[in-house]
Amino acid sequence: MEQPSTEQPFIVTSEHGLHARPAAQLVQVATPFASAVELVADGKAVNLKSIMSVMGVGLSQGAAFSIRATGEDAQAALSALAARLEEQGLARRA
Amino acid sequence: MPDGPSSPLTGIAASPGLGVGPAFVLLPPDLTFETRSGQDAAAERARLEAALAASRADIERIRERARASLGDEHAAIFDAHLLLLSDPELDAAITAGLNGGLNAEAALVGASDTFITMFESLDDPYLRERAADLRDVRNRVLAHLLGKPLTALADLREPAVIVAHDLAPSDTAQLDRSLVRGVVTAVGGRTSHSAIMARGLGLPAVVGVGEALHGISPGTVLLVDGDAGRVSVNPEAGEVAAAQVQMQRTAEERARLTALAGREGRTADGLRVELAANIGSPADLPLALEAGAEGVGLYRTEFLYLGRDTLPDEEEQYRAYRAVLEGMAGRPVVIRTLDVGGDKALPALNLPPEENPFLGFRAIRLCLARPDLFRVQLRALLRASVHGDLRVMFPMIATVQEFRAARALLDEERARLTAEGVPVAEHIQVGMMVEIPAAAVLSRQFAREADFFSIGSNDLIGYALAADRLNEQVANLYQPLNPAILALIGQTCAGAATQNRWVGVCGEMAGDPLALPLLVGLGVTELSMSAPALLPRREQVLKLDAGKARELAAHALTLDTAQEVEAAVRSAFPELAQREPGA
Repeated sequence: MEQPSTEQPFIVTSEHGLHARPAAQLVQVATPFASAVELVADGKAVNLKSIMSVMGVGLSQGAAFSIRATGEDAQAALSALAARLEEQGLARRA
Repeated sequence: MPDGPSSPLTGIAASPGLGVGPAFVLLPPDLTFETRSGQDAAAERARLEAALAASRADIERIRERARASLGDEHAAIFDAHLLLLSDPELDAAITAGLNGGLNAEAALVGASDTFITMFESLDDPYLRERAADLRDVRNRVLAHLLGKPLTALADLREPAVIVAHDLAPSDTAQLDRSLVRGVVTAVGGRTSHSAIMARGLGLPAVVGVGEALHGISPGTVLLVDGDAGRVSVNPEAGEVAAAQVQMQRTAEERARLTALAGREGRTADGLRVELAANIGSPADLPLALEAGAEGVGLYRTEFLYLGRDTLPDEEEQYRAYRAVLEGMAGRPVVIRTLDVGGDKALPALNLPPEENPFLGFRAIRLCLARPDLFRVQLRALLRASVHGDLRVMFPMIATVQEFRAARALLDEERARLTAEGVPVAEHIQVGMMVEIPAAAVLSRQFAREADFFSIGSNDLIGYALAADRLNEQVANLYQPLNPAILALIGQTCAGAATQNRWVGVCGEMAGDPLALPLLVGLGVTELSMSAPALLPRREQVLKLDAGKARELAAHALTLDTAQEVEAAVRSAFPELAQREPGA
């Protein structure tokens, strides 16, 4: 069965980059959604619902990445994550 | 453990007072297990799920307890623990182990240790903390699998003496102070987290007892003597009774003095003398406020920097400073900038050892040479200034140029923050420690630059008499009441008076009953001390005749020796002959 999938590109805006600590907050945002949520950078995808995989994320200011959500509530998950990234000054939509 | 008394344990006296109660043992249980293969994956999965559910229930309970006693910020760490428990990647790695026929213990430990090793190998303090969290969570699940659930301070329901290898901040977050009669740890020194926390909460503590502690069974009656650094195991009834009489007396005296906590520090003849507290972290505030602190006269910020491999960032510092300013609700808070070097090494800076560290590269000297480090602290202070009455104090000032240079950096950071649109309090008093005799001698000149002086009596005495009080051969020369010290303090006050600056004392002399009338008589109007000394000193100030204190001080300056000064104080104030209990 084909699941709705949606992907949004971002650019890191925080001067400290997007590293383990801010990335870990995203896990709390992503976890309640039913959709599979991934952060894609440099051609690699990590599970945004896993604090373990997100720990390895290290993106500098200006780096491009995207968030991909697949599932019934994909759009809602993506909006919630984008809102958190922007509120915290971590990244903006590209 | 036999029921009769066994020989007492000795350690470091970390926090004064007596306490008696059954041992509440927090030592970790033996979590060794056997790795087995060829197991039934479904059965092992079921065991694991049960252990995970039990662990989740534990953590939720601990989190609620932490939230109730310490607020959401402290409870957040346990949210992270819950996320780790349900992590899909960790679960996938465990499942792979179970499907390969491993028992649940081996699958759990194998999977989590892969992540722990990976996080620990990275040069990021945040990830290393998460490795510690993961180990903590792994041990909890493992303990449930082995049928040896971990004890947690949150499980404490009856009065007890806490026995632990060491206490981590996440342990103390769960601590119900009203039930803890004392703290005994196997490791640590006077500046370890356990010791600082115990002093902050006013709990008797003995730390660094060593491996002998591991022989204590839960429920064994312990008598903790935090003044002597001694723990009696299964004490005789007579010893307990004597301790209880002593505790009762201390409690009564304390209750009498606590009634004075709300009174403004003012002598019997109306001179205002502010009684403030020395603190090392925001955790020290509750006890200081309970003792009626009218301000914080010395916040030693080095505790933010010590005992770690990294430097605290601006945000972490800002939060700590803000917490103290808000906790004091508008009352003055003197925050001393970083005072390390000498006896306080900073691992993150990796400074080479010095031949003569007390005369070397420390405190403001280090900060002026490392403006990158200093500016971070100054920015954090300036940002926090809008949350209360902040006063910034520079330590170890020897020359006027040093004070000007430090102040210039502060002004530059203020201008930068203002340009960035960050609010900063309009007026912040900027003062200095007077602990180098040169600063005392030159106080008239310094008074044109600094808004206040706070006398660091410990170092001032050490430098003026060239004696280290920790060196037994010369400790007799470390004389707070030596007329030379009084003259330096008097000179500091006279210089300050020419520009209407205030003078405080934040060394141990401030809490010394014999020194108090002399300090007030010399012109000191703020005394900052550890919280336990505040109540007895308040009583002393309230009864003091400042006119008589001035006469005494003038007379003391004409005397030849510290012994003569002490005799003069005792003869002017005969009631000082008795030492108060628990001071």
